[in-house]
Amino acid sequence: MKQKEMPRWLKFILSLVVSCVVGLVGSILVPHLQKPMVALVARLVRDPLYEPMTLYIFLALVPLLVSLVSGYLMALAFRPKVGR
Amino acid sequence: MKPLRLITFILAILLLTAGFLQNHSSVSAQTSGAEMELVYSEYQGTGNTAESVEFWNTGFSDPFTIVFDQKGGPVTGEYWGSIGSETSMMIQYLSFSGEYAGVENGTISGTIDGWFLAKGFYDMFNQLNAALCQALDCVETTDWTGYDPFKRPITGTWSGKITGSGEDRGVFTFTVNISDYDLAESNEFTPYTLSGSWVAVGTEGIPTSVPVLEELVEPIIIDPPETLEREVSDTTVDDAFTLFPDTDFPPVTSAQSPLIPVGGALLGTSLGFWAAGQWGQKPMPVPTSTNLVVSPANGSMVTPDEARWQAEKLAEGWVWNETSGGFNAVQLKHPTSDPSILAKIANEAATNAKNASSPLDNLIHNLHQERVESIREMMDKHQQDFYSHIRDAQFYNTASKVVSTVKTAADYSMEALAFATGPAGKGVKTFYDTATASVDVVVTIQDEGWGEGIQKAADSAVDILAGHTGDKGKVIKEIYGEVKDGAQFVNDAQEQGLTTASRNYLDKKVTDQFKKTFLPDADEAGSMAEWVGDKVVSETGEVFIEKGIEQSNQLGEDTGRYLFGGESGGIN
Repeated sequence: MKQKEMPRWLKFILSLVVSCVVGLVGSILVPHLQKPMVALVARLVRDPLYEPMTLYIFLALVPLLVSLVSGYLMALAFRPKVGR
Repeated sequence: MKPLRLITFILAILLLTAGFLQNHSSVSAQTSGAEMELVYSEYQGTGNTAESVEFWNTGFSDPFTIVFDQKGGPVTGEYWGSIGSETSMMIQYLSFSGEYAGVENGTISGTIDGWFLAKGFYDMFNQLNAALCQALDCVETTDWTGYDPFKRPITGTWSGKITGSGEDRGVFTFTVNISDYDLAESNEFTPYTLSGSWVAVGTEGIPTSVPVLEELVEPIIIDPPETLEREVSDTTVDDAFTLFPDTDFPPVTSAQSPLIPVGGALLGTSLGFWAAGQWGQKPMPVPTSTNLVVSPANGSMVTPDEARWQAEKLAEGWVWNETSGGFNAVQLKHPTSDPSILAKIANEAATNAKNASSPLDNLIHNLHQERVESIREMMDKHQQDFYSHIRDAQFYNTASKVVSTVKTAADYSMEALAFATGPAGKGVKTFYDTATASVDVVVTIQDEGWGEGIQKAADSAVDILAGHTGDKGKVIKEIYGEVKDGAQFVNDAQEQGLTTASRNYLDKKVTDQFKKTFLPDADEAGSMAEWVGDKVVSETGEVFIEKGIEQSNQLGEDTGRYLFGGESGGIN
């Protein structure tokens, strides 16, 4: 017996909530990762005075990126199955 | 694009924009610092006040930075100053600490602690470090721990107001608790107090920090003060300066706004739905019960499209799995297509390489051929020997048959004579039987050869019968006289075959004589000759010999019955 498929609006809300949570968790984690990441990059480039601007930009964009990607993937996961 | 989708995208953009703007203001309130200078105006101690003030303004007036959070909180700052020559050297360290009420209120106040090194220390320091530090440029990086006994403590206070405007300034005062430390020299010092004002200055001479995300921050620009109460200021009045220069690496402040991940989630989800086609495709068709058909896979009711798809999969060789509700992939029964051209070329090349001959193969082939030739020669030799043995065997076999034939002919003749001549023939037969039994033909043959054996057997019988009288006795003699030519018969048998030789022999040597003697009709004699010949040659020589005289007697009796009408007693 075929199961009734989840309504699209519910899929959308669920995807939105999950991706929001993921993004917020990322926003909480990123500040704690800043110093270790800076130290790691400075060690990699062997310059203690190195100021990784790229790393700062990347870390600042992490919450945005993870929430965006997670929302996209959730939407794809809820895609209706048309084949086998 | 439908309005709902458009609103969703716009909302996502708005959230992101609001988040970045929130971060913008948040970044603006981050930890920063202010550059300030000390301006000495009062001196309370031993000596000339004006001279002392000038001395301090000349020697210890470099700008330094205090660090604080614009939202308020603790304040820290350090000042390193040095002045010296070949004959005089002093080092001053001031540590500023305190509390800041925030940029809106602007009040700031705290304490000053530090130490002072003056003459008396000069000689030692000059010897040890002056050359290395290039006239005390390295005071900030030098470890002064070892000079603690020579440090004179400094204590004081400071206060003022920092609001980011050109009016930011304050006052300070500190006391150098110097004593008779350097009384070894002529100069004597007693504790003295210095006081004056501090003023915020521009960014000249201050290292510019990394403008990472704070590039988004519009710095608070204040107009430079038109007049400064110091003589040494050479700051260009038209140059803008930053009151709060960055003092540390900025934190990743963009993560502090929850609107950014929320906006990102909304945008990502919207994009995902759009990419997945959930917003652009038609609603999924819901099959009605009237359109259902029987599934070719399991018999259940499915849609026509489902049934058609299942039929196609079954035709392709897939197997329906009822447990999983799907098809299990199996090897297709359809023949695969021919290999590609490249595959053919590759296969041919591989085959040629595999079959290519090598010097070793040639060597092995030659050795094999030599061995084969050797074996073949041996086989030929053995075959020749085999044929030789075969010929010998045929010869011996034929010879034995000839002997049997000759003997059979004699036996047959004896039986015929005995049957025909009555009592006289009986006597002849009896004598012949005795003679035959007494002659060991086989031994003779083995010892002296075939010719002698035959000759002996024939002669023995003929010589015995030669004394009989009458026509019949003559016949017997003639017959067995001819048997002397048995050796010739053997040769004929070898060359022409036993059957032919026997027939010829009987026809010519026996049948003619019987026909001439006993039979009036020539045709009947011919039939008799064939019968006798067939009878003789139908038996093998070996079997005939084993049966011996018994068969010969029977043959003779049969012949006699045939010749003489089946009645014993002979012809009268």
